[in-house]
Amino acid sequence: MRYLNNKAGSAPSDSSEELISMPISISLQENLDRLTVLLDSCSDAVIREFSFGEPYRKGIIVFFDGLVDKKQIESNLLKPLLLELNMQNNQSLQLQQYSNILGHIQEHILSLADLKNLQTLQEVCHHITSGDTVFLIEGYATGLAAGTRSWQGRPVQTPENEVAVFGPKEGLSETLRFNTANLRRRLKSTQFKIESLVLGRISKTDVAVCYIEGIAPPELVKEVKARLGKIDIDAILDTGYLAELIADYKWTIFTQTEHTEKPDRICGQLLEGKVCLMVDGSPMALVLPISFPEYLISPEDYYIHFIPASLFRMLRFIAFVMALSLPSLYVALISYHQEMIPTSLLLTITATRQGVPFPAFMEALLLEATFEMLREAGLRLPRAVGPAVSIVGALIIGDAAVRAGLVSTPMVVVVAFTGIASFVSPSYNAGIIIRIARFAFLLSAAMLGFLGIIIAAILMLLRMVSLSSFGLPYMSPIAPFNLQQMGDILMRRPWFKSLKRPFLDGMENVIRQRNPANNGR
Amino acid sequence: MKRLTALLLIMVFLSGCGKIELNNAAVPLALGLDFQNDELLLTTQLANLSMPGKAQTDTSEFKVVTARGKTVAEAARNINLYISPVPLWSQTQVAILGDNLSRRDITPIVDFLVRNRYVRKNDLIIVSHQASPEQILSVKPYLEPYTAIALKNILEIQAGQIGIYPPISANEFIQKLAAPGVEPVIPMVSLKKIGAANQIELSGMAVFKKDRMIGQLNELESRGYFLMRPERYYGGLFPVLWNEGEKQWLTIEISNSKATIIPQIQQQQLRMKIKIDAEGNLYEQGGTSDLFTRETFMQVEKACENEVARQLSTCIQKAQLLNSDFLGWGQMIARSEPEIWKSAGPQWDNIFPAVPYELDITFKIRRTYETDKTFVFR
Repeated sequence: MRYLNNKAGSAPSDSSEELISMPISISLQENLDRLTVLLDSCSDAVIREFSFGEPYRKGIIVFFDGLVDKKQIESNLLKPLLLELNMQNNQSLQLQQYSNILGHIQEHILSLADLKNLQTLQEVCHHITSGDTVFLIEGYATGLAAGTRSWQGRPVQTPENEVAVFGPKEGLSETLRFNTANLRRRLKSTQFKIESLVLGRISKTDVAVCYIEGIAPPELVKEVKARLGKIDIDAILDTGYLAELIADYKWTIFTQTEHTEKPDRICGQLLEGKVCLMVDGSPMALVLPISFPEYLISPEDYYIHFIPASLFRMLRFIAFVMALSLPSLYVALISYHQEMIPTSLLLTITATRQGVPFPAFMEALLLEATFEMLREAGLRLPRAVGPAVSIVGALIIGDAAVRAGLVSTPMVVVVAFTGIASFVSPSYNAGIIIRIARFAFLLSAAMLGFLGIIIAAILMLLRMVSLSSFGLPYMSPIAPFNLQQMGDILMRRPWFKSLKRPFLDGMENVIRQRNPANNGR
Repeated sequence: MKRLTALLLIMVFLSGCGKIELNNAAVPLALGLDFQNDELLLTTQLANLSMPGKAQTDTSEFKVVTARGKTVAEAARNINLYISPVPLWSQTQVAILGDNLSRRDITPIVDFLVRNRYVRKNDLIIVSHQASPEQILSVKPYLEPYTAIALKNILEIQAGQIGIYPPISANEFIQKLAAPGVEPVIPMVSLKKIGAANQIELSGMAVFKKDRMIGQLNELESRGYFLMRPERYYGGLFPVLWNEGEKQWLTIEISNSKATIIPQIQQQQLRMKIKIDAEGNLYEQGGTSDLFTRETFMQVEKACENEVARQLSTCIQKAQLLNSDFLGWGQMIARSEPEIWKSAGPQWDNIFPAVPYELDITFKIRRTYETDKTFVFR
């Protein structure tokens, strides 16, 4: 076994483009030369030359160190060829007597589960970079790719960002295969399809398109695949790339896909006819299409009893509205509409505002910006300095600023309340939308008071109703209104009443429960 | 895009018309109006606010400021000649009309009350009796930092607890001034000397006719007026003198009372039929004679009816004496007998003092609070 050394001057890069499109040659030496050029300066590539059989026949295996299970190569590939074949030969079974040695090896010698025939160097390169081991022998223009992929991946862990009290606690990890397996384990049906494609010229990332045949509208699956097919980019490092590349409307803060790292959530969405995209190397799956109200639905709603679930959901809708508009309502009230504040409350607020140097809008803007900064800092803080920033945030900004008379206490309360309310949203995407829109609301409140807030709300709603996600209207089922589906938006429909799936355009099978006999009293 | 940016910048920097920052605003809690030396006096009570937790040099809860002007609005703006914050006039709780102003002529202020958007139409309106609004507002009230709020609370709470003076909103006052066949009557507040300090006290109601105050109602008459108002009457209690056997006072709580006043024509003669359906509870007994027999209980009810009748008739007599139709009879006739009002309306001032009336009062005692026996000493 030898590591390829960096050979200075060899293999000009323009010829490697040419080389890669070549078929595998009959001559092993030629293949070896070409591979040496292609794998030049790849210090982790391994080419192992050996001879086997009687009479000796030359062969090589190529793989990338670190991506393969070397024990498996040794016991299932090298050992049968180098030792067991010879033992068979001792029993006077000449290798020569087989007209197709490669075929014989494939069928009778190698004890590997996953073997594929390769014809081109392109395929060879793809397989070795994916962690397979490619086996080439003298005199055959066909290579064998042995599935020996094995690397250190993050095991299945509890998702850090989507914490749930009830329900499954597994999260996706970075390895696509683990993730598809995770889904397959929950949907034990051949109807559940995982189509695979490779995106990214350099990254050659595996992308899985998951859907349930017979439930997902075929048009939707076709459209998703068509849009993915149009992507020509050097690398896909996360599902976020895809979300942006395949969105219906790109110049907007209203994202039209849902990111999740919970397999149970994905399965729930798949059963509603959605399509899920997963990218190798990313623990976030993309669910589409999605309408805005669905952002406020937590998968947990479906695991707990429907009455508390419905109440929590309503609470979430209220919190959403508050997170969006509370600072702007407060600024509009105290700058323009003082007559709407009950006198005793106004007295309290006015008392706290005595000597505050900034107008209410500036104060709100400063505090909101500070809060956003704290939050952004908190996201990326090393664990060791986390408490330090919390203390600075709580003491300096919360307490000292008020004591120094730089900000008023009600404003701190409003901003803190808004902060809490914005964390209520179960979807990170919805949280981002709220955070951005809140500033627009604040600005319009400072300019025109309640009128400004109304204008901002109208503009925002106009934009939202004009969007769509893969043909699904963004505000559905609120606009266009669908009473049947609204039953599962503002409230959580009890399972015994969920006879049909939420309807997606083109969905074939909408029946969820076949036997409505147990309808309950 | 450039234009849009420019527009946005313009909106941001040139915006803010009608914007008042609370940082330099004061909260006026009352609007006092009076007349003196041919000038209007506007008095207000500004809450004296300071940052919580900061040491305060001036510990008074409020400042009473008065400004003069030819018109009310001018006087209001004149306040800013000597105080710096902008008063948020929409926060006033009560409007106090000075004795001088209301007895002389309220014409100069009526338009202000109607037109000005900063006058809260649900402000309670009060006449300061034998005192100027400034004197009333300078009183430091018991247990409440601001006189204006104390006044408002006193008015509202006594209406439910004792039920003597109905709180009248500025809106109702204006409407009654403007409507034919009805005159406003509003509660009065006066100063009451307690020890060295003055306190505020409700003391009757001011009866208006056209543009001025012409008289006042005492407590009994005010009760009668309150009971005859078209709204349902809840709460409040009154003592009834019980003369059968042992002389004692009973306290009767009114839980619900409804007045129906119907103009009737009998033999070409207009008469008002006043029907009161009241329910009440026996709240307290001032003696030990047994009231809880069927006969005496009915007599108690009868006594209550008589007491109510006394309240109503003194009130009506006062109205007819002052010739101010604050009971709104003219309006009722105009509504139910428009033909008669057409001829009677123009000379209503001559007709009203002599309109006969008939009282029909039913008073039912519903509860005796789980005690169906009279307390007995043994």
